[in-house]
Amino acid sequence: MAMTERDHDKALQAFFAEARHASPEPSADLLARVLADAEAEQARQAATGGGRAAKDRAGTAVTGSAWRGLRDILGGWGGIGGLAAAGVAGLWIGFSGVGTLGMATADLWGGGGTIDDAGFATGDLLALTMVLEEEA
Amino acid sequence: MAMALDALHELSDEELLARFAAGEAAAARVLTLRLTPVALRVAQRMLNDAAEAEDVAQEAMLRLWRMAPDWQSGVARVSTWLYRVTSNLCTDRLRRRRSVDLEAAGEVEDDRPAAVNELIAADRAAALQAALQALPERQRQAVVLRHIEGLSNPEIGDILGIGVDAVESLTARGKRALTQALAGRREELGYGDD
Repeated sequence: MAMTERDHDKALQAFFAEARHASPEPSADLLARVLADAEAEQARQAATGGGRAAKDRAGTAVTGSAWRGLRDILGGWGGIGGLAAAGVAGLWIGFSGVGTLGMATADLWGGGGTIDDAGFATGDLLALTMVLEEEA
Repeated sequence: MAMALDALHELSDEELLARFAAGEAAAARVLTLRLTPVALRVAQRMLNDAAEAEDVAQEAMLRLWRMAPDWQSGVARVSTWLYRVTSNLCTDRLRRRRSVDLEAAGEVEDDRPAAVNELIAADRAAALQAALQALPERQRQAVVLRHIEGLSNPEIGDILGIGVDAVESLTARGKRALTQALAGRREELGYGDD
């Protein structure tokens, strides 16, 4: 006897049930890798102030959009120049903390988080400040 | 203040993520155990490659860790976010592959010498997995999320960035294609016309 649509659906549901039952479980190695990433990221965030930013988020909402925030503060790229701007940048750095600089730089590079060295991020902006001073 | 591990297991994903962002190591452990299987399941269903699925699951979880300090409470569910990131990572990988023909996928399964010795139940799962791989990517995503992960249509809509109607259409077309693909294998897999 030909199967009805309901029969087909019932058969398909049985396949789905088997699939759910046979779902892959993460290996110990994968869990270890994920946890290692978590711990490394937690340490990085603690070192750069990310954890503090999370705790204080309500008060200082300076996060992934921090670079845009800097640009806006400086009045757009065309407005960047001179000692006054460098001074504002310095003020902003002091205000937002080093941690947000790492995130800001990662955001600038596409948000992929490829830059995880806060020292590099800090140096990058310090270099920007120096260039601005020289141009002035 | 740090909580006992058992107590942490009672917390929601969002509460754990906040604790992770605040530096609580135990929250990382609970989230790892809770959410890595979710990412891995979806990645395995979508990619049909264990090593690639593990890489995707690890990458999705890494993005979760990095996003934690910026998580906006109440905007979305953490699991929905993870499903979306995992799906997108799978999409990126699938775009690098050429599409797999169902017939070829079936032959690969049939040709495996060990297949005859496997349990029928495992064959059913393998048959479904092969049939899933032949579905268009969006149909596969919708079917996996709906019928294997058990998510609601609105949540799937959020994950895939489409409306509920479109989700229903994708799952209906996906199921029709699966029914057709598996029709010839039901009897050999122990699903006779009973």
